[in-house]
Amino acid sequence: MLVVDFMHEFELGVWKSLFTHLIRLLYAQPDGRQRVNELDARSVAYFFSP
Amino acid sequence: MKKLGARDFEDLLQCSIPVFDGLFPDPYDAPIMKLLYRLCEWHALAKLRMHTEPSLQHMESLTKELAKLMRSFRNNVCTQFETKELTREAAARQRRAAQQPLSDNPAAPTTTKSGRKVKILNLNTYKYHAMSEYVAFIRLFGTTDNFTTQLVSVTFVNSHMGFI
Repeated sequence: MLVVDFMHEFELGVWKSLFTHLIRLLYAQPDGRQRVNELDARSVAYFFSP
Repeated sequence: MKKLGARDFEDLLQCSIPVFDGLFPDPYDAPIMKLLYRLCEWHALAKLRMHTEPSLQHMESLTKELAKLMRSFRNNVCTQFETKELTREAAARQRRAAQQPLSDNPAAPTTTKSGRKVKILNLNTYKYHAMSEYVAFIRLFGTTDNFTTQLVSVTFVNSHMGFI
């Protein structure tokens, strides 16, 4: 029996792979570069704000 | 955005809905938003430090719904686009290939390693599969803060600053 490890399995496994794939999906759009730039700008506003 | 830790990814997940809102074209925006919402909800429930039988039952049904959403995201949204690996991933793959000694792989021509490979979302991994077992383990061992490795790694990171 293998006990689940929340941090390594969910945050660094499931969510990280899904997040990366969402960015890949954004790049696959016709104006992908602009969309990723918008994502970056929003991330800075939300995620890196003190 | 280069070296992110687990807690950074946690923060990214928690603010993912406003960040991704409206970035995808119309028929795909709604399923992605729903998926992100359910993922945030699942994350909050899995991290909850006190569970009751109703909250565990809710998490059980939520896990089922999340799995359905994930599969439909892979089958209905991801198949509509040709997703390629990110430039960073391609560069890392090329660096790995360059480090391989030529004797290991004599037939591989070095010129085909340029360019980005097509990459699809792989849900058939242990980490996705294990999501269905969280409720059972919370019932067995208590809430996840009892056995997550985050405690140890956070203590390790902070010990450089705090205990000296």
